[in-house]
Amino acid sequence: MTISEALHKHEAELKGLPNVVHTGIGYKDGKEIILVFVNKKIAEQQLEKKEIIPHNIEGFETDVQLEIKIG
Amino acid sequence: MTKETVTQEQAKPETIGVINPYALVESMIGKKINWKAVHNQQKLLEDTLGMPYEKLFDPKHNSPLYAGLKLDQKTQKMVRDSSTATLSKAHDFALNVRNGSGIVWSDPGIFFEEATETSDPIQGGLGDCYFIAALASVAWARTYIIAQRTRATGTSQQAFVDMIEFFKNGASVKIDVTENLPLNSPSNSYIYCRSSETGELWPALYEKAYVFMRKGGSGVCDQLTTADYNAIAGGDPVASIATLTNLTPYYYGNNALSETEIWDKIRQNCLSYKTFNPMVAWTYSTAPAGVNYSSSHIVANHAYSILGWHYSNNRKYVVLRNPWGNTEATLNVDNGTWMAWDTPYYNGPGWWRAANLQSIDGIFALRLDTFKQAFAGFGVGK
Repeated sequence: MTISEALHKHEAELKGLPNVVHTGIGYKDGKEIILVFVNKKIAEQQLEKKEIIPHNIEGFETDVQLEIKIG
Repeated sequence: MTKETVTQEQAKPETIGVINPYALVESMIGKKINWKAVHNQQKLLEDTLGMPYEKLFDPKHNSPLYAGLKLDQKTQKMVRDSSTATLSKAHDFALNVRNGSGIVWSDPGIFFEEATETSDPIQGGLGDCYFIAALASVAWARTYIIAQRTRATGTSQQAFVDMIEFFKNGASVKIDVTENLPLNSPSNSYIYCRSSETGELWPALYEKAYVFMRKGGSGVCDQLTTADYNAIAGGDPVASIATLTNLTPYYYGNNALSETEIWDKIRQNCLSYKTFNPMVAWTYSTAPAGVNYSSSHIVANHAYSILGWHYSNNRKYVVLRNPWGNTEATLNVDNGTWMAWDTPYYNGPGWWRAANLQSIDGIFALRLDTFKQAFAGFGVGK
């Protein structure tokens, strides 16, 4: 499975999590990762287990970032 | 799915925007200006906006282009400024543009005056450069996606709507939009996005439909409020490419990449110098250490289209377009001619297209090392 396929497979469930606005693919340490953009970062301890963004999706690392707001 | 950490910090979202100074000056003077016929554009901007040209493009100077926002000195991020203190006449006027005084709705032209061109979309008095840059990138790399699809709504030939298609979560969202647009009264000049072609509406209609979709509107999109427009100020240019095309958004931070990696990633999305996948880039909220946005005429907190790459005198360049259709970088740029192959569509014809990098149209070729240093990142839809 490619990273694009993995992203599209899980996109809807990721966007159903609290504060997630959109998703994409990024690049870190020479490899592609799944980016999850949120409008607010919340500590893991303050979230329900089912609300936590997974660190890994289909073998691809994820990274949570604040959404980009450029005018 | 596995359970893992989300984050350690709790932060509020940024709210960012930068107004097109040329649009602001037109609104302040009350008429459309043929900028190519203006001998000294910088002086006209300075005289009207009441600030030295070099200080306009970084929020740390209280530029009217960032009215309603301010730079948080601690975080170096832009935040909304609720202060009503008068900073300058231009600053107050810019706030009024955002607050929507003196607006009339009218149909000022036709969908296409000529072809879909990357030079068409010109950002107006709203901080949505992220969307306008994406629109120009799509017009350049996937031209046929920009289309007029129209149908009559009555017996009169003048009664019709256009359908604009976006994508949200992978699903098509179709917006029926009239060709009424908000204009300055009484000059009937544009407030928000406009085309570089007089009388052409498609960029403004795409912006209007986008505002309507973001608002969650239903039915026919006719007249909106300025609050509706203002609500889209500040956003993500790569996500906007996905909204326009349904392509997958890819993001790259310049800090994390070497020059070679940046060069390779841009070229991977180009054929014979020109992007075939729509690409965008964006700058930092304020100039990073070692970079002077003001003197290099690079706009802080701003999104640009990436049109392709250029190689001249053994130097590598990234070809960019400012969605203002103006204000090109002046540091480490090439002022020659850029030739790019317009990729064939559907096994159809292709052709070489030339751009004079000296002409004032927002397009410039920025040396790769300067691009890496001055820009925060870039992205592509593919």
